[in-house]
Order: sequence, then C-alpha cells, then structure tokens
Amino acid sequence: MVMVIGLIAIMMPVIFMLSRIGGSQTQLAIKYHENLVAETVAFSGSNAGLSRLQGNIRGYQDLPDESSGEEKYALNIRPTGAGFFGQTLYFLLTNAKIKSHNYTLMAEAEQFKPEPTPPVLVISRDYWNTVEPYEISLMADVLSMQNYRGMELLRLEETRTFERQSTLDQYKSEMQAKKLRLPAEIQSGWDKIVTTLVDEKISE
Amino acid sequence: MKKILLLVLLLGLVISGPPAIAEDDESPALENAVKVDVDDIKLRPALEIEQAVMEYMLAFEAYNSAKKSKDPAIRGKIVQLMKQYREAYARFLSMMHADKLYEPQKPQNPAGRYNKKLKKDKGNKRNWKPTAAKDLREKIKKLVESGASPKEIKEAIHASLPKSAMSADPCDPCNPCPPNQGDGGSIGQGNVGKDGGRDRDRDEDEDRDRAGFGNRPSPRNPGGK
Repeated sequence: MVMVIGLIAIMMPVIFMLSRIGGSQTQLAIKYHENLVAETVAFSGSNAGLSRLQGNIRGYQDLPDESSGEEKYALNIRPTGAGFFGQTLYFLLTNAKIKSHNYTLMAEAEQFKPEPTPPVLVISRDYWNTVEPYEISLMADVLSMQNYRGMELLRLEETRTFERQSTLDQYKSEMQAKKLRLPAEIQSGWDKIVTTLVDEKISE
Repeated sequence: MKKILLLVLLLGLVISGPPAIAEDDESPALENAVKVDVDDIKLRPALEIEQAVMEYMLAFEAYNSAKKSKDPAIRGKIVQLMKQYREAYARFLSMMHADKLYEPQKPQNPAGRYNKKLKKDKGNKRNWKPTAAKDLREKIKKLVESGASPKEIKEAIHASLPKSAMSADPCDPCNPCPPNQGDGGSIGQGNVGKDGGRDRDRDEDEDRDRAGFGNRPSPRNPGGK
C-alpha cells in the first residue's frame, strides 16, 4: 500500500511535467483546435440567430450567454432599417471566445413579414469575420465594425465590377496571370479552378 | 371621495401601463446614429425597385429549394441558381448604390432613406407593401422541384415580376401636393385606391393577378385573361 502511494507520489509530478512540455507542433495544434472551435461555435450561434428570425422573433435581441455544447457564445441581433417589401434588415452578430481566441462573425439578414405563420423567409448574406476584440452589444463597436467591413466591401465591389465588365477572355487571362504568385500547393490545381471561376463569372 | 378614488385609480393605470409605442422599423437606433445626406438621394420609380427586390427574392427561393433537394440532378443546378441569385442581388445593390440609398460603410436602411427623401421633397412617405410573395415563391419552388433548367427558372422569375407598382404614394391622388423638387417628379406611379393605400389582405391575390398566374376569374378580372 505504502509502495503504491509512494509510486503515485513520484509519478504524478513526472506525468504532469511531461504533459506541460509539449512540442511546438503540439502546442500549435492545440491553438489551431481552439481557434477552430471558436469559429465553429460562432457559426453555430449565427445559425441560432437565423432560426430566431425564421421563428418570427423580431426587434433587438441581446443574448450574451448562450451555449453551444460546452462552449459559450454571445448573440446580438440589431435592426438597421427597413426594406422595400416591409422586411426588417438586421446585423446578425455572434462572438465566441475560447481562452485567448476571439472570433466575431457579422452578417446581414433580412426578415420578411410572416405569411401568416413562421417560418418566415430570411435571407442572410455578406458574412464577415474578425478576431479583433469587439463588443457586439455596443453600438459604437458595431458601427466601427461596419465601417471596417464597409471598406472591405468596397474593395469587393471593385472586384465584382471588374468581373462583370470584363469579357470571358480578359477575365480568364487575368486569373491565369495570378498563377505564378500563388503557393506551390495551389498552383498545380489552378487551371481547373480558373475554369470554374470563368464558368461562374458574373455577367451583366 | 369616490371621485378622488377614481382619479387615483386612473392615475395609477396611466403610470403602470403606458401605451405601447410602435417600433419604427424605418429608423431604429442604429440608423439614427449615422449621418445620411438626404439631398444626395435619388428617387427612382418604385416599380423598378420592387422588380429588383422581387427578382432577387425569387432567385434566392430557387437557389434555396435546390439546396434543400435530395435529388442529385436538382442539386447539380445549385451553382447556376446561386449565380442567378448573386447577379440579381448585385443588380439591386448597384441600383441602391447609384441612388445613394446604400453606402457600404453604413447600416442598411434603403426604404427608410427613400422615405426620408420623399418626406423632405413632398411631405409624405411612400406606403411600401409588406409582402413575402408566398404564392410566387411556392410557384418557383415547384418549378425547381419539377427539374426545370436554370434558364427556365430565370424566365419564370422574369415573368413573375410586378408589372405595376405594388406600393402607393398617399399624396398622389389628393391635389394639391407640393411638386417633387428632387428628380423632376418621376416618382409616385401606379397607385391603387383613393386613400393612397391598398387592402393588404388581398395583396397575395393581387401579386398573382399581376404576375399572370392562375388565370382565374376574379371580380377585377372577370375574364380571367
């Protein structure tokens, strides 16, 4: 009995010490896992927000302490205005934080009027994410995020305008020209990707 | 004594239960926190806007129906249907951008800003018709389920777009109204009803009639064209 206790007393600190000394790859894997979980939880929260809108729950909603499995997320649904069919437009914001990993997801959603019972038609789009520590329930932070996101959207619009206005050949050659600047792993399959991109090119 | 008691009771009722103030969808707190230059806004005919909204809404329905389908042949059309939805929404967005009803750095409130400008120019707001076009969406959904090609679906969507404005400008039928000083008076077309509004209970039927679906006799369309 004494021997067993003695063995445990010696082995426990050794096991503990070994568990703390992980290789850099292991630590990286753990960090990556945490990051991935934070993203997944935020997406899960965003889907929960969409379900609330489809269920005809309307107006401002702030749910700071929701759960997805064992992890927590915050959900904030904030009306931004009205659409031409009487639909309410929203910012759909979710935030998940796991240890030092912060992940915030911002999307736009439009909730149409019930007809007459749920589920209500909800269209969500323009998903945007950030790892900056924004507080999604504060209006100033939301406006700041919108501003940041808006600049990125303007750049996206430039891309869309180029896509729309260029001919198939112009678009194809522009995409092909990017091949040399891509990582080697992507270069091998780039021709196939370009074919798909050209097939899906936005036209007037 | 009775009067005093009644007065106290009434006062209590007023304090404890103030009348509910309806939330103004057009100007939520966030909208009031941003600066909007109303003078820059351009008011295009409501019909053009409603057609654009209806188009992307129906295109989304087609894409969503294909996404939910378990038939591989229908699911195979998802990419094309998504492209059609993206294009329809991009058209709407560029329309909003051109009219200064949408700025990417600011929260979206296109109908609210349209009405803000209209109110400044004419002193009244436009009555946008609340609808989710349930019947039209159902029609598109069935078309997708029947295995129609993306091209056929696109044509059906175009055929379903409203032919006249669904919303109403309450100021139009009643003269005199101050002339529009903003865009040369191109707004406020296609009103129905003397009161400037419409019977909203009949909206879905009117959508169907306007889109040419059903071809059934109705009091307004006895022949069922």
